[in-house]
Amino acid sequence: MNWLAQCTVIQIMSILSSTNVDNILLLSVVLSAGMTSECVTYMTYIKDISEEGRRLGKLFYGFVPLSGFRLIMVRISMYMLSFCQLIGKCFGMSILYNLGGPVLVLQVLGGEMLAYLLYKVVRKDLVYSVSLKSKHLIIVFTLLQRISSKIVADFTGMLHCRHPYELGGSTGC
Amino acid sequence: MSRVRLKHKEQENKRCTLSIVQIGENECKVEVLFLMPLALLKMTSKKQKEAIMISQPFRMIACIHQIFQDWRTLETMDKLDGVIMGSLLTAKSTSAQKNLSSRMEEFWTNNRSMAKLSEENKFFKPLINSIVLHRKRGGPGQMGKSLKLLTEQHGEILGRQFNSMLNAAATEEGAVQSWLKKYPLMVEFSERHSFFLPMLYLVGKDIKHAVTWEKLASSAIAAAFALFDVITDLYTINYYYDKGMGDTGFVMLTFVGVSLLLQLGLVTVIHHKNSSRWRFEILATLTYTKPAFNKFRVLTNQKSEGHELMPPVTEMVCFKILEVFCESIPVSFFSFSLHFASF
Repeated sequence: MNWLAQCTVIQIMSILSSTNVDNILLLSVVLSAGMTSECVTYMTYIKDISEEGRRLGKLFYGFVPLSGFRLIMVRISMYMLSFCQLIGKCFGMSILYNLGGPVLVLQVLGGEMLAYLLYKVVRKDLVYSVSLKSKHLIIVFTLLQRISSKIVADFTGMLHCRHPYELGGSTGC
Repeated sequence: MSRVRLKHKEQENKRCTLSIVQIGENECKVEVLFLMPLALLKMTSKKQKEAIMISQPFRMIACIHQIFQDWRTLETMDKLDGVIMGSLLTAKSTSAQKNLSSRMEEFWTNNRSMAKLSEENKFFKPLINSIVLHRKRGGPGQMGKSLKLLTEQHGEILGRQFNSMLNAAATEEGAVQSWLKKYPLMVEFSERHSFFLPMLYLVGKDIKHAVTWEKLASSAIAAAFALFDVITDLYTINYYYDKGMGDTGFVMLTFVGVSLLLQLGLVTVIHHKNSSRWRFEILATLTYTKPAFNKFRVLTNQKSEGHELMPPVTEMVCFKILEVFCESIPVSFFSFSLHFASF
């Protein structure tokens, strides 16, 4: 991890010291990361405070305080977590992209995904319990859901994707 | 037991049977049975449903309900009464009806239990009035040490403080809890009168989800940011093409296109049962103003019209998940890669 941190620092220093950086492109990067973080934070916040969520999923929803300074702190922390996770992950992937091109990026992402799905298979926790008639449909739904939540959680650190039955618990280690 | 059968000459096809049974010393069980043509039940539009709801039998029952409530004594009021009182305070009025201030005065005059309570506790009437009339500004002020020492001015301060807390809190529940924590005398008051907290929750919920200019502005800002984000993404794609990196530009464009297509698909799945609403949602998605509509609906707690596959909160979450998964993450990644490639 240390080399990655050093590379990140070097690259940030390069961005800051570079004279060729297009301001609009830089704005685009910051805006994209900011908007993504805002999306994820707002989504988590709204779902967590919703009456329906708290009533039906008491174990899962309800970590956001409902008022006061703690509410503000939790919202800021969620935003910062998403923003830093996205920037960090993008830096890491960009280094891989520049080292080995899209093939290396796909290999790393695919490897991570395969390891995650295998882990779920070993734990007998892969398939969701959904009310669909066809088994094939259930498997397609499960794979789409697992892959999308893994990618969203990896890139944005979305807290609701870190549930023990999703990416949390020992999967997070 | 008394039974009343209401039959209207103008609407002979609608019948309403009202049964009132006394089940305790101060308790009645009211059952209402509506008989109406099947065609009325098949009506799906909001306007048609509203037309049924304000029809004469319903209005009459609402009127009877209010009269019952006005005659309830303070000693017998429980949590359910709090919910009913809250509904009466937050009932929406049409243009033909009186304004909010005069309706409040009517409430204090007609409702015997509330009139008695406001006489016994001077702070109560200004407290409820300032909450319902949405008064916000005002300092914290000093509170008396017992309920008897609280004056009308204290009630006004308590109401304004409640509104300020409601504005800052995530939900009405959070606001009420913070308010009770700050003013322990109100805990004592709520223990004496069990109807008080349910009434406060209901009024708070209504205020929290009221349509305001602030919420409209917040939604418009969300739309502006979404649109600006897309414009900068398109600028980045154009930059790639100009620099001779058409492949990467094409991949980014594909992600933006796939995201839009999936969002259109999601809108179609949710709203396919109502063609006019579907057309509207499609237009909002294509113009990137859909996030604003989603946010506004969630902020104002709009109820489903009946044709939707999921409630507004879930719709907004699904829409955002698609946006993040198919557009935001890939575009952020490629934008970063572009900067790295230039060093």
